Amino acid sequence: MLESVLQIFPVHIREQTRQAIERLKKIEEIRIRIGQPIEFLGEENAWYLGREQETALTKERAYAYVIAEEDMQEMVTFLSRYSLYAFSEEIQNGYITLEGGHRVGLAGQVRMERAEVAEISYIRFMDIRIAREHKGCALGLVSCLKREGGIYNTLLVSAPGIGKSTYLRDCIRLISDGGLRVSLIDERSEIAACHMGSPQNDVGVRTDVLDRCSKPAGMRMMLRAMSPQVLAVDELGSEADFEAVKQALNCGCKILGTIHAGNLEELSRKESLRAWVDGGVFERYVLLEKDGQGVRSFTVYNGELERIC
Amino acid sequence: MLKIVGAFLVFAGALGIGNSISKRLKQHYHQLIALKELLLLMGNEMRYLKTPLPQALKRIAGQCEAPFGEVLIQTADELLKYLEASPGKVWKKVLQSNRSDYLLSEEEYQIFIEAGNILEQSNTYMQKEEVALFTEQVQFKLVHAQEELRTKQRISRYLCGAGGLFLILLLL
Repeated sequence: MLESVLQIFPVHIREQTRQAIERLKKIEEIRIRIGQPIEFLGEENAWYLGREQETALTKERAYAYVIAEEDMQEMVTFLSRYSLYAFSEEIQNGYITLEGGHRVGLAGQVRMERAEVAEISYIRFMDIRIAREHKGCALGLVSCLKREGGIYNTLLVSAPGIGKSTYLRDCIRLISDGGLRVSLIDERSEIAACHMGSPQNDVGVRTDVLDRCSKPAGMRMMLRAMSPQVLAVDELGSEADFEAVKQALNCGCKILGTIHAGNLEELSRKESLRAWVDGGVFERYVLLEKDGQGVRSFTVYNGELERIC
Repeated sequence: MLKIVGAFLVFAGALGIGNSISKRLKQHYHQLIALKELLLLMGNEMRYLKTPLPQALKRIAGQCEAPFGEVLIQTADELLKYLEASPGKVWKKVLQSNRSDYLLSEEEYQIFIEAGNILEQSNTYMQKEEVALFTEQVQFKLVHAQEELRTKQRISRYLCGAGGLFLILLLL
């Protein structure tokens, strides 16, 4: 259980960490900070890894195991599979994806080169986000997106943190399993969560994935090479993204994408998107929202921004 | 008649020993070549292909002659247990337990063990430098071995032949 996550922990606290994870229900994140206790975050608030072998978990900082520099060094070695050289690009981007789709965010001392991040010279903080698929969350949504022989050009719209990527993943899976060829350009490795090129999340039986490729270049490559019926992209936003979308539409391919916006009015105000909204390029807009209790819902609009489901 | 047959067998046995020594000398030379090749392959996998270490070792193992391939697979398997943070130490431990499979001298085997330093390097520049360093050392041994190979092979055959004749004379 969560073996790929446990493997990166220092050997001398690995068994204790295993016990801690087994005791906690639905763990969402593990935070590691140098000189601080290891923090487990989930439904049951925050716990620390206990200092003593017998106490896997504690709420008292005084009894918590504190991460030392040697521990952090060991974790970086295991996280990079003894091969920091092989993960230089991932480290530049600030995260490494483990087998199983768990993402480890990294922070520390950065070395800049020509205003770009060259590397994180000293990794001193990690945020392990435990991946959990929410299969079926888009079951009711996909029926509103289907049309004869394919789907409508669709944009999933929401503010950050609502679950666009989760819904996108499930839509891709359902559409792909439903019979359509889907090409996914997974620029940030969040949808398929590929590990050495292999998807760790279920993205459907007919889905091809281009991992860690920029969206414009990825869309062009997939159109040329994989003859998709649907092109799926997360977080459209730049001019180059929309140019690539235009090219895809000219090839007869349908687009399933996401975009950041709190509501449809905000969407209409986006410069790059206004022409598309006015021109009816996207035929479906799905607004995702979350209420005060954390329950998510969606509303589907047509190309004229009229509500249909 | 029996003496003739006996003498023949003794001589044949002595020549056989001489040939066996000659063959081992050649195998030793080939192992040095294989070692140099292994170092170059490691450098290539890490520097150009940027393959994570356990996978890199397994890939190279498929291209290496025995017993080098086996050692690489064992090292990769140990690394994948994530029980030791230093790949150099894992490399050393595996090599030390496989000493008998190699015809390399103690000094040459020590170079092989110390080449584990290549695995400890986190950047491609130092990997390149370490590979160059160890390849140079192996090359030196290789040149030396090549120069001595023919001479030693000849000497071993002649000495064993002579030894066989001497034994025959003693027994007769």
